Amino acid sequence: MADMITWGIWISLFVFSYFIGTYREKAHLKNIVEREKALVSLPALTLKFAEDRPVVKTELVMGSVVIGGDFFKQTVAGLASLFGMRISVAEAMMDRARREAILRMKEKAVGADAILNVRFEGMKIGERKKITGIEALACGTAVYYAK
Amino acid sequence: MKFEPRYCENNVNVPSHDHFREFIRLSLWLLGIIFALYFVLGYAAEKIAERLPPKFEAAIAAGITSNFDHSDFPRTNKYLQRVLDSLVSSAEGLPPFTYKVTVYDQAAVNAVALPAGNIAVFKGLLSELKTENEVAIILAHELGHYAHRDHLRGLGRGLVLVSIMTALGLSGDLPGFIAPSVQTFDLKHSRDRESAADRYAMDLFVRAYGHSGGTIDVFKVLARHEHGGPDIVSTHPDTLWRIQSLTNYLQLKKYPQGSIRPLPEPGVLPFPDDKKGKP
Repeated sequence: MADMITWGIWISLFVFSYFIGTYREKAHLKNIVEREKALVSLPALTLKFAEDRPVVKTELVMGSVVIGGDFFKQTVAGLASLFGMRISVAEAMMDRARREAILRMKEKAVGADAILNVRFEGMKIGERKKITGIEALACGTAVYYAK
Repeated sequence: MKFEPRYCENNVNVPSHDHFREFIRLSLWLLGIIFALYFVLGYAAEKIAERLPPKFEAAIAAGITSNFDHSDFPRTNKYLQRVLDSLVSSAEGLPPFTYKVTVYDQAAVNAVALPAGNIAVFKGLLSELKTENEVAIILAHELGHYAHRDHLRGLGRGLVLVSIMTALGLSGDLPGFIAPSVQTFDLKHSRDRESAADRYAMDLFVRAYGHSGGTIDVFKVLARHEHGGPDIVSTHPDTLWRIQSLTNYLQLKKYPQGSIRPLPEPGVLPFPDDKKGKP
């Protein structure tokens, strides 16, 4: 009986986490696409020097985001790691985090002409094998050219 | 350098957002591998166990046999050992172990054949036995498991199952509602083995006592303790069926009926005032 309760809780948590997680992921992706389209005209490049024009101002801009790994994703990631397969749930999570980080970085660089020398960092939050969440950080130099 | 804003709709980094399908795919992989491992390793363990030389088995069991040196009921134990010794002396096809019976103060209505000839009998079963014939047929049944090497087969499979569970981080504990379904795979084997041990016990009893009297009764005792579960989820085959098939076996073999030998005074097991640790 105690087993039934423990496993019942486990399974309902798993199912619940799947539906909530999927819903949140879809909503976030939709939001990301909209903002990416709006900010597509601001280039974020890895180049150190892009245009040979006088620069009036530079500024460090950063965007960072932490996304929680839900119970469903952790379980599926655990399964995938058993066989050394692609962890597609983590791929989707990392992708969301990186794109969100770039967006936040771009949103920070108000009025800039370009963001140069862009770098990424990714980090896992959680003890040992557990993925409580992942952090993605994007930073670069916002450049303002002389008009 | 000219920068041309262009938005790429296609995301190469995430081929699929269908995580549920991924989960199903991975689960099927895992289940497939577990079943394959269980069947292959289980089969191997069974085959190895069957061929394990008795000497080797005794050496392995030596580590745990020290547990069997004490008994919860020394006087009762001595009596059971005497019955067992007389059975062993007229038995055929037994591996050359020193057969030893130990009585445990537990309520279970059961007896178990442990490695290297150590038989454990629980008080629950013992207190149900009314005659020496019943005692002897129970011990002979366990000897039957040794003759057929059943005690090792179960051990090998169990070891594989526990190893797989531990590797998966389940630490050997199956949730209650999964465990029966896993064990069901082995039950067909298990039932055949119990029946074979029954027939062996009957033959041995007749060889030792010259008749088959009072032996069926013990299965009636067991029948009273059946949990009443469905036939397929019981390790020991449905006791009524067992009684029937043994009765048929007796008629087929034309074994004579004979006298029932009572238990030594005072006629109950375990003997009263027989408890270890009394100063």
